[in-house]
Formats: sequence, C-alpha cells, structure tokens
Amino acid sequence: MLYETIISTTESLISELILSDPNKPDSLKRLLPILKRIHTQCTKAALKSETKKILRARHIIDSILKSGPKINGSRFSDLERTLSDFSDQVKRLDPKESDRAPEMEITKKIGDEAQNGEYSELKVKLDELSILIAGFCPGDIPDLGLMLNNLNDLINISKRIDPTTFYDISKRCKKYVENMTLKNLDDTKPVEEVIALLKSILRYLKKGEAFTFDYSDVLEMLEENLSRDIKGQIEQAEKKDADYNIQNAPEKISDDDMEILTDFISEAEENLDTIEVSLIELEQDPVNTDIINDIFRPFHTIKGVSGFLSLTKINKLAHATENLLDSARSGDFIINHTVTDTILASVDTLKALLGRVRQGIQTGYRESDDDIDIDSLRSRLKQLQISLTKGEKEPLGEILVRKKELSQSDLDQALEIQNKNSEKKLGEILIEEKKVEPKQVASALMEQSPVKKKMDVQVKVSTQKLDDLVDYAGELVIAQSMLRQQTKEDALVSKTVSQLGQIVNNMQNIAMSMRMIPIKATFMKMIRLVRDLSRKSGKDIHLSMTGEDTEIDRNVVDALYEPMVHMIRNACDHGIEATSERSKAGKPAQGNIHLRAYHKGGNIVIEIEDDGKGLDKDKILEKAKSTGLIKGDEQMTDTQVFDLIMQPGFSTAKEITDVSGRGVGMDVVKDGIEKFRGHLNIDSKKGNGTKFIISLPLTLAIIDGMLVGVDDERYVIPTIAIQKAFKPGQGEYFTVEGKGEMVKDRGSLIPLIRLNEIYGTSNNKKSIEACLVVVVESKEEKRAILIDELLGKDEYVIKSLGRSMDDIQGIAGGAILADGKVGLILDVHGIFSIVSQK
Amino acid sequence: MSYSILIVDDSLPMRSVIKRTLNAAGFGSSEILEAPNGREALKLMEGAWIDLIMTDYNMPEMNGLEYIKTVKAGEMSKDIPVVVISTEGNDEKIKDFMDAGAAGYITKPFTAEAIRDLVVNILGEMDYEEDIDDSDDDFDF
Repeated sequence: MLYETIISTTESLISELILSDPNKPDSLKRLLPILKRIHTQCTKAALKSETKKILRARHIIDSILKSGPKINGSRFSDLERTLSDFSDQVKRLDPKESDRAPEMEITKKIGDEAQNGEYSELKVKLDELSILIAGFCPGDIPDLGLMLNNLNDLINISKRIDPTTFYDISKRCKKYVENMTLKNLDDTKPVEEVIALLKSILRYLKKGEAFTFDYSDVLEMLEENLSRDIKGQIEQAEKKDADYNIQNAPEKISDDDMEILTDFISEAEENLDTIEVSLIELEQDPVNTDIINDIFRPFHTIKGVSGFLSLTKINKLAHATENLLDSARSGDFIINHTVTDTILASVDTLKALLGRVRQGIQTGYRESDDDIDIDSLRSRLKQLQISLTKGEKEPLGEILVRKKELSQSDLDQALEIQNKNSEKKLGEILIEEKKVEPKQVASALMEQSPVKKKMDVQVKVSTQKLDDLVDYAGELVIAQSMLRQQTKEDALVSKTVSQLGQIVNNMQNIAMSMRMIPIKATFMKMIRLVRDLSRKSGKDIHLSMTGEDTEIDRNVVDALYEPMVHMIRNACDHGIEATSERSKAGKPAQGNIHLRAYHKGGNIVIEIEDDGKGLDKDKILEKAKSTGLIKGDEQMTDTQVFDLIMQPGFSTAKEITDVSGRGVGMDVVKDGIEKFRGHLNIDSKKGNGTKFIISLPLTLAIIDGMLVGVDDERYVIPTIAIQKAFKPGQGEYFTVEGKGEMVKDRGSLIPLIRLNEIYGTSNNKKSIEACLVVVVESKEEKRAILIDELLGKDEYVIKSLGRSMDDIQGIAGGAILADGKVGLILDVHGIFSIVSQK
Repeated sequence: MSYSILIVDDSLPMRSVIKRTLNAAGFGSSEILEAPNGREALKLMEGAWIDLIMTDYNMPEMNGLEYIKTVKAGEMSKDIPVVVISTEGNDEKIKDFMDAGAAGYITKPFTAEAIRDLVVNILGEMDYEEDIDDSDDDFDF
C-alpha cells in the first residue's frame, strides 16, 4: 500500500518534471512540494537510500533556483537523471513488501474514499472561516452570520468522523461565535486558535494518525470568554494592569505554562548545582574562559526562558549575574573571591525563587515571591561589574553603609567633620568617632580597590623575530646618530633629524619592551624546588617572594635560572639549619627564603635571602689560606672575603660543606652571571643569614655608554660603572710602592689603569697632567682609567666580536660608532681582574 | 502553512517556548524537530527534510555560530535557511552570524509577530501547502 503510494506520487513527479522549464524557476518550485511528499512517504517506509536521493534532487533544485540560468543546463539534466534513477528504483520495489516494511507511527490505516472527500470539504470550509476571521471588524453582524453558517457546515460534515474531536471543538466554537453575536464581544483570538487547532487535527486525520496533543488551553479560552460579560471584560482589563504592579490575587497557571515551568525548574536547578563545582574550579584557574562560559551559560538560559514565563525576579537577577560574568568572559577583569561569593549568593537566591515557582506548580497558582529581595544583590553585582571593569571606586562611606556597618546619619556626620578638616581621611574620622572598627574600614578599603588585572589580547611571536627587530632598531639608532653627526651644520635638517631621533628612540624602547617578560615564571619554579628540597632534607622551609611582576629581558631570564637553582639549593642544603638547631638559636622553626626582584638604575636586581646560619668569615679565610688563594696577611673587606667562595680554586663541594656551608660551584654561578654582564654580591652575617644579590642589565642588546679616546683608539665605558671624570691637578698623582700608580680623589687614593698598557696598543706613557681620568667602580672597588678625551655619551648596540675573540678579558663587545667605525666596549670588572693579576 | 522546522536550543523549556510561539504565529501545523546543540542537530539532519533551522547561539558541545558554519559548509545542507535566536544582541555578533550565512536574526525575548514576519519573509515564497493538498487528492488514495 505504502509503496504503491510512493510509486504513484513519483509518477506525478516525473510528469511534472517533463512539464517544467529549467529557465522558469516557478515551474521548478512546483516540484518541491511533491518531493517533500515523497520524502515523507519514503521515511515512513524506511527507505533510506531513496530518502537520500530525494534530498539530493531537492538540493539540485535549490541550487538552480539560487544561481541564474547560465549553468542550469547541466544541473537540470543532473536533476532529470537523479529523478529518473529514483523512479526506476521505486518501480523495482515489490508492492507486497510494503506491508512488511516497517511503518513508523502509523496508528490507523488511511481512511476510505468517502472520508477523504469529507476531509477536502472540511479543509475548504476551514479556509473560508480563516478568511472571514481575518477580515472581521468588531460588531460586523453579517460577517458573524457567515461564520456561523460556516461552522454549521463544519459540524455537519465532521459529524460522521471518528474520533469526535473535530466535531466537538467545532461545536464549542460555534457557541462562542453565537455569544459574540449576542454579547457584542470582539475578541476573535479564541476562534483563530480553534482554526489553527482544527487544521492540524485535519492533517492528522488525513495522515490517518491519532491526534494526541493537549488542546485544553484552546477550549479554556473559549469557555473563559463565554462566562464573561462585557462588564467583566472591562474589570479584567483593569485587573490586569493592577496585577502587573501589585500581583495581589494569585494568578492561575495555565496548563501550557505548567508543562514548560516544570521543565524549566528542573533544568534550572540542575544547572545551578553545577555552577558551584565550576566556581571552585575557577578559583584555581581564574582566567579559564571555558569554565567562565560553563558558569555563564546557565544564567543565560535561565534569563532567556524566565523572560517568557513572566518570572520577573528570576529574570532580573539572572540577567544581572549574566552581565557580570559576561564582562569576566570578555577579559575585562579576573574573577576574585568577592565575585565568586556574589555569584554564589545569586545562585542561592535563584534557588529560593525557583522553589516558589515549584510550590506554585503544586498549587496551580503563582506563588508570591515578594519577601525574597533581589535588589540589593543586583546592585552588588552591578557595583562589582563597574568597579572591576572601569576601576571606578565606590566611596568608602557607601560601602560601609551598604554593609550595614554604618548608619547613613553617622556617615553624614563624619562627612561634615571631613569638610571642616579636609586633611583627615574619612576612615580615620569614623574610627576616631568610634562609629566603626578599624577592621571594618580595612575590609571596606579592600573591597573598594579589589586586585585588578588587565588582560591584553596577545600574539605569539617567535623570539628570533623579536631579536631581529631589536637588532634592526639598534641599527636604526646607529644610523640615526651617524646622520646627526653628518648634519650637525645644517640647522633645518638637524631639527628633523632630532625629531627622527625621538621616533627611533620610542621605537627602540617598544622593541625592547616586547622582549620583556615578568620574572614570575622563574620565581614560581623555585617554589617547587624549595618544596622538594625541604621534604628531602627534612627541614621546614618557606619560600616567599616580592616583586615577581618585575620585567626582565627574555634572554636574561634564561641566564638567571641556573644560578638561582644553584643558590636556592645551597640555601636549603647548607644555609638553613636543622629545626633543632634553629630553636636552639632562638629562631622560628620554619626557615625562610625570600626572593626579591626590583629595578635599580638600568639593572634588574634579584636578591635571594635566607635566615640561616650565615657565612663564617674566619673559616673562609682559613680555607682560602690553606688552598693558597690568599697569603693571610691581607686587609680584606667583608665583600672581598665573601667573594673568595666564588673563586674557582676555593673548594669542591665536599670540603665546602664542612667549612662554610656554602659554595657548591659558586664559581660556576658567578661565571654564569658575569657572562651576561651581571654581578653577584654576597652579604652575610654569621648566625643571621645570607643574602645573594644578583644584578643584571635589563637588556643585553643595548648599553648606555661613555665614548672615550685613548691615543687613536676609542672605547665605550658602560655609564653604569662610571662614578666621575676629572682632570687631576698637581699633587694628585702618586706612585705607591707595591701598588703602582695612584690618583688622589678627595683624600682617597685610587689605583690608576692605563688602557694602552693593558691592551698593548702603544708604549706611550703620557703625563697624567695632560690627560683626564674616569673613575669606575665595580663591586665596591674603584679604579681610575686614564683617557685622552671624553667624546660623548650615547646608547650603543652591543655586537659580539665573533667566536674567535669571545674570551678576551676586559672587553664586553664591540659597538658601531657614529662615524661607522668600531669602538670596543669595556668590561670594567674584567679590566680589574687583569690589573689584579699583574 | 506547513514546514519542517528544526529548533536547536540547549534548553528544553526554551524549545517549548519557541514551539508555542510558532504555533501562535500560525505555523502550528508545521513539523517540528528538536536538538539540544549543534552536534545533535547535525546528526538529526542526516536524511531529514528541513525547510528552516532556528538555532540558539550559546550552547554546549557546538555553539550556534560553529553550527551555522558547518551547515553552510555542507553540500546538501548549505541551502537550508538558518535563523539565529539569541540574546547576543551586539552588532558585531550579529555580523558574525550573517557572515556565517544566517538568513535572519531574532533577539530573545521575541514576539509571535517577529517570528511570523521573519519566517514568512524567508519561507514565504515556498508556500506549497496547497500543492501538497492537491497531490493528496490526486495521488494518495
């Protein structure tokens, strides 16, 4: 039976296809409904491959309709081929099979021909009725008469149809229309609803399926309007307005709403439960947008659905929470504890509101939720959103009042006092007046300025590209300063050049800053290290840190890691005493290591400080003497003594452990840092702990330097090392036995260095009176460098001298000077070492 | 008017609301298919005749935008008009939807009129209910 239907429909499709013209879209459109019909039949008969063919045909028609007649030819033949294939395929179906074919959802065999005729008639009548309703004007009695006639026809025709649904509804509708005539009602909505309902019932009748849907709301609508006279209608309109404001009388929940409400509540409650879990996850990972989205979505859904169900309070609260989360989602701020708490409060309130709705479902009437306050929560959400996103601060007084820790009148009083005495802060006044506790002010201040972090949109760039950029920026600086040299004479050009100089400088700064990253990541790795080490050694050690947001050149970070691991390992192994020892010395049982980072001058300084037993100066001196590093009769500063442990020959790990508790490869550490033009200083007090101070240049690519001339050579001295330059007068030059040449600077004698002697560029021993000296300092040691002239201060891009000249002591690198020639950059510390070796 | 309309929304009550609104807008006789997210919707579309898709934006598994993109990338599904029903009201987002090939956009909360206007606007020309009825009469029985 089913197959026969498919075959016959297909035949009509093919004949329609023959009649259609590919150039006339309308003729193709006529195929679509037939295709759909076949599709439905094939789905019913579970003919999968046939179903797909039909969809394919539809797709071809769609594309022909979409793209003009140009390429239609081939597409159309494609369509013809597909459909004729389909037709062949269908014809091969064995009609007998059809009875055995799985039939989906067919509850009743398709009706007989007589009934079919009735259906068509009903359809015609229903359409007429639709037109009448659509054109109906209130009070138009003749039209109402026509409607009644029409309904009578419907009732008559449907009398014989089983089940009687159609008949029953038609009768009720007729009653309603009669009332419209008598009582002058003009609400045609119930009739429209009835028509829609009857049409769908008719469709089901035609298909031979049972109409199982709940249509009680339509009947109710009819009844409701019937039982009401005109006066009642007006009253109701008034009541509706009143309801909107006060909602006094409980509103009945319609069956339709009931079903949706039930679904809504169970879904919402389920969603709210998952939020709590997600919030905890979020605290661990506050920037994870996936988790934020998981929290955001339930509020979003609740907001959306509650709007339709006139659950105003739920809607407003969900909306406010959603807004806050939306800002967090788009990265305006990072979710903190305050936000989490507020969201949880919102979840609780929503649950309470949902509980009311659930009660309402049980009673059948909307339950009042007037006693549940959402306004304070909403304003808190709003407040959070504003203060977190824009950084605007809520006044302190208002926070206290909001938290009900201060009354408005007390606040006004305090504000008056403040007006008279403007220097005092509101918090101080309030505490003095004993209106609030200091603790309360503190917590209000915390709330006033929550930790705010801004998340920028970021792009990943390979470090190689960044290095190149910095390099070229450096070249640009050089080219610019060359240009400046050459255009010094021309005032006009020189003005433009200096303008260019500024742009170049800005650009260079930006390029440099791109390579800067916070040192935090490196510090964080140390937390793990300390935890592992303290567990291994059985000591209780705590690592704290400050300045972890300090930025540092990416390449320098790499240089820092190894030395830091070394030093922290030392601090844990040897610096911090065992717990019993600590308590004997009157120290807290828990050992403490503190990491500190800050900028100082052009350097970044990293300090690693422990509160362990400190370095033992005597033991170090003793050890140094025994290994021959010192003779034993030298006068040494503390710094020099501590520096001994960083000497290559000082010791090996085993021995040092016994002597000073320090020094596993300290020479390696020192070398590592100095390779990056950094310094390592040690500060220690026996019994109180040790502090390692690493200072590294912010960047390795550029150096701020003073250009000096010695004979024909030119050198760059890093500005950071320079203390002063002066021309020694008469009587300020000495030669000291055993120490060589010295210059006198304000009463102290400074050893003199002649660069031409160190580098062997000339044997020209100039008279000191004809020269200048530059006093340089490294590690609290001073030396005076003899130069011919000071040529200027500038920034120099450091260029490596190449691998073959990598380990020349006293030279940090080369720089291209403004005239294009190369100047050597001095490594002051290296020069000191050369001198002291002599 | 009788269409096959696919509603994609992760919220069951929201789907009910949309269905009810379609009913009120005069599409009561349409066949309604439902899916809770983009991924499920794609599964359901396999072999089904669909005249219109109405989808939410914010859904788990596969959101509305990804779903539209997938529908529009499918050889067989690219011609099915898609309407977005969402609260994401900012112009940029709407532009994203339109760029992805959405045929229309409705903000929540919506009215029956808005739905009717939009659906008629998109499917209006394809009104073939009469044709179906004719074919019923001629060939079905």
